[in-house]
Amino acid sequence: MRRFAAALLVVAACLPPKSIGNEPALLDFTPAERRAILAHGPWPPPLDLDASNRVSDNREAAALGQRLFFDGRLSANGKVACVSCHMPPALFGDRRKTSVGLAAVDRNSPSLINVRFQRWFGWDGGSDSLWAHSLRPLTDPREHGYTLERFAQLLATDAELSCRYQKAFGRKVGDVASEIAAVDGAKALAAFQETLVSPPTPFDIFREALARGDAAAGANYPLAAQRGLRTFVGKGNCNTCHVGALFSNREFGDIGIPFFIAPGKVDPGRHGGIQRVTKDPFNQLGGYNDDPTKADGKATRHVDLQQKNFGEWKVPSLRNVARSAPYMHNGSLATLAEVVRHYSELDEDRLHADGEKILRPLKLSTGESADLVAFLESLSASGLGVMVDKLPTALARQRCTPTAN
Amino acid sequence: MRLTSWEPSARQSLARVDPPKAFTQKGAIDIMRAEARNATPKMLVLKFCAALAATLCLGLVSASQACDLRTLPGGHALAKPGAAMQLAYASQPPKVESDKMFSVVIHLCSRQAIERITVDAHMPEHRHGMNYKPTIVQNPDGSYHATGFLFHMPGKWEFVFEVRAGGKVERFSHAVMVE
Repeated sequence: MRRFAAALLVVAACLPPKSIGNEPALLDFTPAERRAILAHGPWPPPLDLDASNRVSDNREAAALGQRLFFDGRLSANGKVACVSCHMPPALFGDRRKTSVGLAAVDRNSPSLINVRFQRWFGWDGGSDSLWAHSLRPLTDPREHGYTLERFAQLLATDAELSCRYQKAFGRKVGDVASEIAAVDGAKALAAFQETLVSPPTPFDIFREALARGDAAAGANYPLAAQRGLRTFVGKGNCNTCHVGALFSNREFGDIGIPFFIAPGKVDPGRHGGIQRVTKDPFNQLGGYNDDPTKADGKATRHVDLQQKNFGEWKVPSLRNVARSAPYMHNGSLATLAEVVRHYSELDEDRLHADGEKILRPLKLSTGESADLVAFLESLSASGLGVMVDKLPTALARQRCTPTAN
Repeated sequence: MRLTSWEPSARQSLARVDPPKAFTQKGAIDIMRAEARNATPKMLVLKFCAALAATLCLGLVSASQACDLRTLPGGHALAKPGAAMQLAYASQPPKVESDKMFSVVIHLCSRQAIERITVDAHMPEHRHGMNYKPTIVQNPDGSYHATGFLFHMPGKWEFVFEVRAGGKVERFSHAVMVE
């Protein structure tokens, strides 16, 4: 009996750490794994100002932007607002496969939370600033079907908006050309979207514990999530593209998602986005950039249009991913389990011949897939999904008092 | 940080280059002075004209005049023993991080006028390059400044420099690990 008990102890000692009942445990992460895990933080990163936007992080402008964001008058039929496809309960997405403005569009509405940390905006990166990207849906005939002239007119004629514009920009709407006033309106919309930053998640709490060497606190992170994290930074190589605190390299990739949108019709993805952003009069190299050095225009100046860009899409941030279904640019995958299965059974024939050579079917076991999903679920915060104290809601609710001249 | 990897082996590599006397402007003037002592007036005029032409041509070889690869801060010297050309480069900022734009300063030592220089980077294991195309301008000191680099993935990246001089292309490559 004693021999049996001793043998049992030896076997138990050789097993990987796991929960016994509800006992928390910490996996024996290697130094390389720890480095890879720590590279996904800290969160949030520095909230850098957007130099191209004179009202970046300006509370008055953010309050104006919040009002505009919820205003259906910014559309041809007076009913489509930004919030129509970017709803707060859906983490500023809309939970549809593909969105519907004045008409149906071809792409999924991405969550706007943490959008301020992006380099390129939209699934195809067709804009190089948050404010320029805020103009794009306004003038798209299938989305808002609006015009810059009407936007400027609204800002000039609505007493509340006009008052807020003057407070934010220090001038009257009528003092500038209508196009400039409309761009200012978009810059206010961007200032509001900059406030949508997600709070720390269970993963961040675990990462912080790992960073300070607090094994007891780290062991509170569910074991399934720990195992999934190990796959994420190891066998899965997921952190090659889903890198850093944002879990995105902010660039584009082809992962074999079909890009046919109708028989004989394709969505070109990044290939179209590069052509759009380089020709956009509102890009970082143009006269509407408030930064005279145009330092943030480097990416647009140097971006290289290549054949491989066809069918490439933005590498999305994985923060809040469990709460932003459906997935992919066309919303074609409904659940995280489906996303993991996509990578596990990747169809290499659908990838570009000159595409990413590290993409291979992961061939995950059922347990590994479930663990990876558990890890991805730990990247979501609870509640509204944003840091409420950063929102300009209180200011936006107050009636604007005109500034004395 | 000074470019320590250039010394002493790099110095030896440079010594093996064995440049012609007219490799620099000073060398051309020395030739003129030495030959003037034994020449007739007519020969002297002809040789003076030839030497002057050579000197003017050498004005194009700005890289060789301003060449001091050892003073490149935080740089990497890519020495090829016996090659007619040496190259050193440094990234700005010195530590390249994934997902961040950076530029590269390139110093060249060449016996011949530089006709063209290109630089690119790729991930050999992934078999893809950058999503950005750098552009190069020459600095007043003869070095080159390439802007528009962004390594969009962590891992092994390889810089590739191609320099055309005297009708020949010299290729230099250097790998870096990016986190």
